[in-house]
Amino acid sequence: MKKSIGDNMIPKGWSFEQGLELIKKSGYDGVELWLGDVPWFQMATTDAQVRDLRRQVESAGLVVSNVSTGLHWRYPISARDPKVREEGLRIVERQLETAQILGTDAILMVPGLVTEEVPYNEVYQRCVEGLRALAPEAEKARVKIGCENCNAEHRFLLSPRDFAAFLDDINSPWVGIHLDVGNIHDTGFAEQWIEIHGPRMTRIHLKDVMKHRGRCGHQSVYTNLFLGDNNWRAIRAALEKVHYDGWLVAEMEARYNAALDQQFYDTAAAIDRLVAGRL
Amino acid sequence: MRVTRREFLARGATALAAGAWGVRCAHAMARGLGIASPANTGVEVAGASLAARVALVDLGAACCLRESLEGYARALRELGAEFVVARADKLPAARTVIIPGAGQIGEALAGEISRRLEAGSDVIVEVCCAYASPEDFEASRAALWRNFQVRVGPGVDLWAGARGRVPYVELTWPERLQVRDFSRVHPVEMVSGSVIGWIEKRAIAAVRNAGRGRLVVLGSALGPALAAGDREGRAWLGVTLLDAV
Repeated sequence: MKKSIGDNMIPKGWSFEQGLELIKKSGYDGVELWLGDVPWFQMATTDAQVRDLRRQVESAGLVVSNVSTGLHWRYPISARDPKVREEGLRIVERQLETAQILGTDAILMVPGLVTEEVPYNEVYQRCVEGLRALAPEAEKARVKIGCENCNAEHRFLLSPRDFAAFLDDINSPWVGIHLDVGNIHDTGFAEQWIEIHGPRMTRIHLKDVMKHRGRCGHQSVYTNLFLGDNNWRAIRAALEKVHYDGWLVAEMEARYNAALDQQFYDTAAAIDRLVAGRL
Repeated sequence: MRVTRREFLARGATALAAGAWGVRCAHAMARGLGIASPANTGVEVAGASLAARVALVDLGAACCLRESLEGYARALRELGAEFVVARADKLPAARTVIIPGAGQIGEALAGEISRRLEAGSDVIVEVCCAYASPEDFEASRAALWRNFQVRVGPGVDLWAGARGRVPYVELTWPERLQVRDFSRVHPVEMVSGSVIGWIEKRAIAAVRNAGRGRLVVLGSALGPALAAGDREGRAWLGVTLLDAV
């Protein structure tokens, strides 16, 4: 398994180049690029500029592990407004295009957002239809769309079997799950999600979770690896069981308040122990 | 076999075309709204089934909610009603004409609606200008008033800043049913018509006799709920089709 971390973790005010240097120095193999979440990689970033990002990544001795985005929280493909939905689909298309340029074969998207206003059934229907339409484009690009399980945040596909049925309905090998082991909270167990989805996992996000602490003010339910309630030994065993040998991508929400670069080193060391099974 | 509307609803509106039961049940269903019952529309329906009686209008670019068109198509398929999808200028004869997601209603479309009403069709117009441009809305509003004396208000975003609101439209005709709202609604008023849909004290659907048919204007899109498999929405559509026989 290979280690990666998001470029959205690069401390504010640092350049992309400085960030890449830190990522390399702290022991990662790759970097996850977040479309729309960092100044150097926006929807308006041209193909030539994306090529330049790739050049910088490779010059730092890294590769791009995948292309992610947080834009679907604003532009969900499940929106009622057709224009918002269209923009959501366009974001996925741009992710596919840039993934090709960046030399990676996976993207992350948040598939839908259930709200008080937009009910589950509508979200489900629009997401299945949207992803069915995107699947041929993913196949053409040879890039897999990984739908992230955001369980509590998007109030959608809350169980691993729900998620599996959703992927069955889309029915394309080019659409899978980008599994976030921290997002399951107290609705289940990450190791069971790994077991059920096995080869359908496009990438894995790593973070820990404090299952019984809800979001409140500035407090986050998420924490750094090994500080929360995830059963890391079981997660490691499940990864081995399903022969997962892909990218492990650190996605830390709780940031260090001082010595910001230290989080990169600590997280890399924790991932090393997870990979080695020294738990 | 005679099936009442109540029985139809109790069956979950699963199929319209299961035998000829659907044809005879509608006559007893007219409500006290001054709406023509099927017996006095002058349209020959004896022995007919609902098959091939519905024309679903694809407005092309003037449809600003494609999923609504798809929702009606899905519901009609699941109800077992034969239907055709056609452009407004190439509509076949049909007992019920449904125009989903209408974002631009110009004089040509209004003229076609008038002809269908004169010929005895029921025409359901789903006004959906809230997702169209302000210019298209104004033009549609003017055409609806000029041709049908239907007053349509600007789109209202029901969910803007709302907390704890009830998300249902109360439809009162041809059967009292609640269906999911669709965020943006247009208030609807008709001269000599009857309000048949409400949400939060806003009238958002109405019906009136027109020509030899009936004009139904929906100010809250029903098609997306149909696409999502909303049972009550589908039941409303089924009963409305039955009532048109």
